[in-house]
Amino acid sequence: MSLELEILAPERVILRTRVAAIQAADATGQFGVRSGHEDMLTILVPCVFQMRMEDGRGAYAAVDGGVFLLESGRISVATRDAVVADRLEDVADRAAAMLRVRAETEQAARAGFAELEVSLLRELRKAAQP
Amino acid sequence: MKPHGERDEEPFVREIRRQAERARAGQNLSFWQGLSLMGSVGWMVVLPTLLGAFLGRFIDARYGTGVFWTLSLLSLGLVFGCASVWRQVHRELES
Repeated sequence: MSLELEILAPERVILRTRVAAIQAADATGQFGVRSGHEDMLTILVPCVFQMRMEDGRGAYAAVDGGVFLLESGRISVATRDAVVADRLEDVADRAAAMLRVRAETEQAARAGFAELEVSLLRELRKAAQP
Repeated sequence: MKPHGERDEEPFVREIRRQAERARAGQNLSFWQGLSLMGSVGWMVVLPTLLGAFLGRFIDARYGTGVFWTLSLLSLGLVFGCASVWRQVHRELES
């Protein structure tokens, strides 16, 4: 008996697997879910997922908040961002790296937009002059 | 203006680190560690209590004070043992 788990970020699927048990946290604190659990819906706070796979291995994920939905043996987690790690020790470092990448991407997008704006203005001015 | 990500980034990583460390502390106490903790807990209560009782019996026999010293030193030993267990368990869980 196990649960199907998928962790979804806006632009990609971060994890899709089967787990025997999972621990997460919402505003009321940590909670655990195993197969056979009643359907539920909750809002996650930023937390560490502790998962036990079907073969007994542990797996971990840093999840930046989101929505946790359990419906007929299937868990869907919709989050802004998450990273998966095999070892608990790595989870925080991966999370830091993830945020660095996010900041860099945002910076790049911002720079690209600024460039676009400038060239648009230049073209407009050129077109306005006879 | 700061990029949006920068404001959230440190609290999130700090929170993740805190939770990961707490989870690891829970895992680290393995079966044998738990057993040895339990064993030492037992002795830490029993030994001071016995010691107090024997000392009390010795004093009572010597000065003819009935069971007064036996009982009071026995309970003193018990209290001391429980207090040191309390300290030890705290230290074990934090390390």
